[in-house]
This record gives sequence, C-alpha cells and structure tokens, in this order.
Amino acid sequence: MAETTHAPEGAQAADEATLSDLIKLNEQRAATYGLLSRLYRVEVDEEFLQELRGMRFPASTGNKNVDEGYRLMAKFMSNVWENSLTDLAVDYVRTFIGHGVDAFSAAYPFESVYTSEKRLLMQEARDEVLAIYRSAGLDKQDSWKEGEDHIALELEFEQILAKRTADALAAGDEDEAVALLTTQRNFLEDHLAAWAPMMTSDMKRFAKTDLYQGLAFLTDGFLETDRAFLKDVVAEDED
Amino acid sequence: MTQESTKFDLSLESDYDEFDPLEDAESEDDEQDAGSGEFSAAVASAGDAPDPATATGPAPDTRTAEERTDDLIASMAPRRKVLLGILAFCAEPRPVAEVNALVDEMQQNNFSVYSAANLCSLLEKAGAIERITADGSPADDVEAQPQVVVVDGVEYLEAGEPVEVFWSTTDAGAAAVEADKPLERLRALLDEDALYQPIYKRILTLCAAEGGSNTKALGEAVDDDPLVQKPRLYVAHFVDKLEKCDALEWKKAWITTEIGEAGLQMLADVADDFQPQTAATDEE
Repeated sequence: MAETTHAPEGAQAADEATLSDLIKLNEQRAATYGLLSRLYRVEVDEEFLQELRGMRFPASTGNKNVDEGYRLMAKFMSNVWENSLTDLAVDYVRTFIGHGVDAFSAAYPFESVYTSEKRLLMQEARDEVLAIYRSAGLDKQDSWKEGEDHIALELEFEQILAKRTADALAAGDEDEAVALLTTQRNFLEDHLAAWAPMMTSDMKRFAKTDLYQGLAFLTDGFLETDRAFLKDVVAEDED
Repeated sequence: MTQESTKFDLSLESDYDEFDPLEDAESEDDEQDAGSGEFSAAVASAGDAPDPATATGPAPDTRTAEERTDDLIASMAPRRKVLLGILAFCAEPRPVAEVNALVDEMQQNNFSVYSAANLCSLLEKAGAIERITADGSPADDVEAQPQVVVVDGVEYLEAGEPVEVFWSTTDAGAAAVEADKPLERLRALLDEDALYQPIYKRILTLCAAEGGSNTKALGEAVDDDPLVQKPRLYVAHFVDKLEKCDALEWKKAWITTEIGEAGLQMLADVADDFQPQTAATDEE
C-alpha cells in the first residue's frame, strides 16, 4: 500500500498518481470479478451476449491462463449465430448441473461440493462464507435459491469489497482500504483459491463451448494474478 | 464491463442470530466421524472419478442417419409435423433466422417447450439437416477468428464478424420427407376404421366449415352417437387420429386441411344423417 501521508514534497505528485492508479486498479478488479460472477450465476441472455460481443479483451496480460481465457471468449463471440443462446444454455446445464447422480457428472459450482468428503451441498464451507458475508454486512437476496457458497456469490463478494476499497481510497480512508484488502486476501486464500481450480479443471472436461472453456481459463488466471496482487499489497502494508 | 451487484442486499443486517437449519441436521454418525479425528480433508475433482465417456457411457450409435431421423420423428410424434416442415423448408438452404421464424409460426397455436433451436439441434444431431455457409461449405469447418486492435499501444481482441449460417436438409432428411405420405395414412385409417367412417366424415365436415369447429361442438356431434357407445369412445379419439394423418390442424379451432378435404372426397359415398344442433338453433 502506497504511503500517502508524511511524504516528502517532491514525492507527493508521484504518490497521488500511485493512489489514482490503485483506485483504478481496484475498480478494474471489481469489474472483472463482476464479469466472472455474472457468467457463473445464470445462463447468458440476449442482452448479456450483446454486451460480451461489444467487449475488447486484452490480448497479452502476462498471464497465460487469462490470455487463453480471453482468446477463447473472443473466438466464441466471433462465431456467434442465431442459436448461440440455446447452445450456451445447453452448455451451462451440461457444465454446471449435469445429469448424473454420482456427484462427478458436472463442475458443480459450490465450494461445499469440493471441500466435503462426500461432495455434498450445504456443508461447512457454506456456513463459513455465510458468516463472512454477514460480517461484511451482506446477505443474499430472497430471489437467490442456491447455497451461499456458489462461486457466483463468492466472486461477487470480492467484487463488492474491491469496489469498497476503491471508494475508501478515493475518500482518503486508507485504514479502511487496508482492512478491506486484507479481508479480500483472506477470503481468496481460504475459500475461492482453495477450491475454484478444482472446479475449473472439471469445467474444462465438461464444457463444449469456447465461452465456458474460456471462462475456466480466465477464472484460473484472474484468481492467480489477484491472489499475487493481494498478497503483495497487504504484505507491503504489514511491513 | 462493470456488472451490477444483484444478489447481495447491501443494507446492514441487524440480527444475525437466526436459527441455523443445518444445526440439527447432522446425524449422530456424522458427529461421531467429526469427533473421531478420522475425517479426511482430501477432496476429489471429477478428474478422479471414472471417465463417464469410457466407464459408463452408452454404446456407440451405429444407426444410419436415415434410421436416426426416422427414430427421432417417431419418438417426437407431437412435433412430427414441425420436424417434417423444417426438413421440407430446408430442401433449399435457408438462413437460420428464416427457419426459426417458420417454426415459431408452425407452433403458434401448438405450444411446445421445444424452441426452433432445440428442434433444429435434434435434427442436426440425427443427421437430417446440416449447418452450411453461403458457399455450401460445412459451417463447422469455417471458424472466424477474433480481430486484433491496438488502442493506446495495447493489443486487444475484438469479436470478428460471424459467418452467416444456413440450414440445409441432408439426403437422410429428404428421405424422411419423401417417406411421409399423410394421404396414404388417412386412407389406411379410414379402411381400418371402416365402421367409424360416418364419424370421421362428420368431424371433417364440421371442421371444414368456415372458422372450423371446437372440441365441445364436436363432442356434442359425436359422443352420443350409437356407434361410439360400445366400445365407448369419445370424439378426442377420432380427432387425434385425424390430426396424426394431417387431416385436421388446430388454429384456435379445429380446421380441416387439404388432406382432410381429400379424405372427405374418399368418404363421399358414406351416409351420415347427423344434423348439427347449432344449425337448427340458428334457423329457429
């Protein structure tokens, strides 16, 4: 975390630029978490498909998983046809819901499934993340009928905290920003990063469309880079 | 690229001391396991499971495209007319949007959970239709690549312009259309159900009137007839058989089709003394 108080006069402009960059970076993190969350939450609809088609995806980010994810997603968007929504709906069900009863028939998007011995829903992981959401003053909407440890909600939790971090930095509340970044780091390490790679590995086995294949790579890559970022920025502040 | 947060309620919650429905759900066995220290935190991804494609997957489908198409049409009897309609329409390559519009029109008065995309996908899987481009190449062989654009010195990928896709009926699909002979099915039905020819004639006549007829009116015309008392049959039985021969179709009323009109010609010599009640009432 960049020090913004008691800085020598000559370094003040550089610190302001750094602060501005940090605010922008957190806004971008929130946007990417939001994009990932939306893709996992429900099937793609017409409006979202058009939004995706209008996006520019960075070609070379320095992370091969992110690059591969964006490449596959851009490729899917380049081959959209009239029945793409149906293709995506079918692939969403195939990838995340499956049709078997052996708990190995899909990439089930719940932390409990990947962290419980019998691959069951609503296990300890769900209770833990629910407690964390509530400690941040958040609760799910009544319309959400799935468990709180669904990856869409875990990603959205990080999205909200990243946005709050940007707001806190803009308001000059560095202590709050540090606390928020620490919470994000802990949540990422204790939850998302602990199980999402297993789920994305399954996604690569089950998904047939480039969009959901790309989503698996993008999730892997983005969580890797964000984990490294949070580790660095929080460690810097702790030092 | 920002997304609205939609699943969290950002208002502060004042009371988190809610009853935990999971609290009492744990069985004694589970509690013992947890306390025994033998719980293994090891978890498995689907990669550890037997590969469903090799371990429990279905046997390879050895049917020909013709057999798969026939089986599909037979197994989706209520959609048979729509499926065959797609196959007939796509005898010439048709843009996907046109095929979707055709199916929507055909299903306008015959709602189905199957969309045009679903039905075309099933036909494609059976080998009855195929996706092609404007020059006739298989669409799956043409893969558009993203465009690379440079903005402020940074490279980005943008969606390229998709290739227009057409549906085209294959030889197997064309054979299914050729094999569908509703007039012969109707002739066979009338021969097989010769006893009920007056009933069929009555239904087709009522439905041939302007505006067709509804099920209630047809029931009043048929259900009390001595012919259908033993064995007891109702008008829906006959309507269903006629519909399967494409002699009737539902367009917010039962309407006699061209096939049905041809059926009336076949039944021209069949005597039926039935007089519609509504006609008599109107005359009164």
